[in-house]
Amino acid sequence: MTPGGDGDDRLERLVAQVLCEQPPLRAPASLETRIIAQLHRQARQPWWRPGFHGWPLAGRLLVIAACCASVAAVWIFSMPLWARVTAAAAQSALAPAAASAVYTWRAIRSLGSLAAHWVQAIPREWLIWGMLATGTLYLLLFALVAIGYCLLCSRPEHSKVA
Amino acid sequence: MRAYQDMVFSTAARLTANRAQAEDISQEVFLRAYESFDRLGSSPKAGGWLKTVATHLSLNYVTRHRRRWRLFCEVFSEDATAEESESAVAVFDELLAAIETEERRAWVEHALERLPDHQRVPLVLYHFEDMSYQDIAARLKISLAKVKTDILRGRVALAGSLASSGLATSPATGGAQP
Repeated sequence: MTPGGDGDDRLERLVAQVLCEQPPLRAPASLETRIIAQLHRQARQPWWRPGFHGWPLAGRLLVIAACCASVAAVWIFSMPLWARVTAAAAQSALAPAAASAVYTWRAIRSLGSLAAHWVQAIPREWLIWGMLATGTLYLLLFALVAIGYCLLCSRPEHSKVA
Repeated sequence: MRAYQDMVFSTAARLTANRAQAEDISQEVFLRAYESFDRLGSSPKAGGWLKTVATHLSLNYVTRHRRRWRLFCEVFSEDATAEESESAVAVFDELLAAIETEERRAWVEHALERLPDHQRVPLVLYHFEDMSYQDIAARLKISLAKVKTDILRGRVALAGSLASSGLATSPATGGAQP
């Protein structure tokens, strides 16, 4: 049934009438105590503990300035160091490491080519049937989980008028 | 705080159907209010602010849980039939006519708690928080049609829950205690 019929309108009015009469639920007596205890705990914390947004403005500005200065310092001091490292690698100190990285990359590429050849060697029918079987198993698993959800997690007894 | 604690707790409890979680959410709401005390202290909008934050935190809690089952909820949701709507109307008629107000309130609160999340949350937002169908759909990130269907099914399920509890079958005795 599409929502919006006469019976649905009457049901909406009745439910609204019943729910409008519901008073607020009474909060547990422990709530106020819990909140006050938590506020006391927070008040006892050191100023830097609650997080950056809770720090004093001067402290936040100082940290931001320190961060910017650190980034600038790292940039300035790393440039000559980087130049020295690349020069050393080009000469001989790090040449074996660079060569082994190149060999590793070539080995990975060779393995990839080998896998591609294997896939091409598999008959096309096998691939199609394999994909179909995988899809069927996936749908079967989906259906099993859906049935499990219906049986265990949904509450069908509440969705029908007794 | 005392003036608003029942309102905040009710909002959280009805949306989450979990009183322990509602207490945690209420605590968080008042702690946030304390942080904004300078702005809220004497503001006439303090109540609305508290209710909005309570709703927001409660929906965050419910949504985290709901996301896992959302797909299945949507796959298996179905419209209420005309017969179910009529039966639900009869249950509510009986509820209003035959049950004492105090007792009825306890029954209804208990029945609300027993509704599944995907029906209770839109129902509570519509009837208690006065949100429109469009606002609920936007807030819960579901289609407008699904909101309408879930609210309708929620009303029917609420009647079903009341009826299955024995309320509608024994109005003279008031049924069993919720």
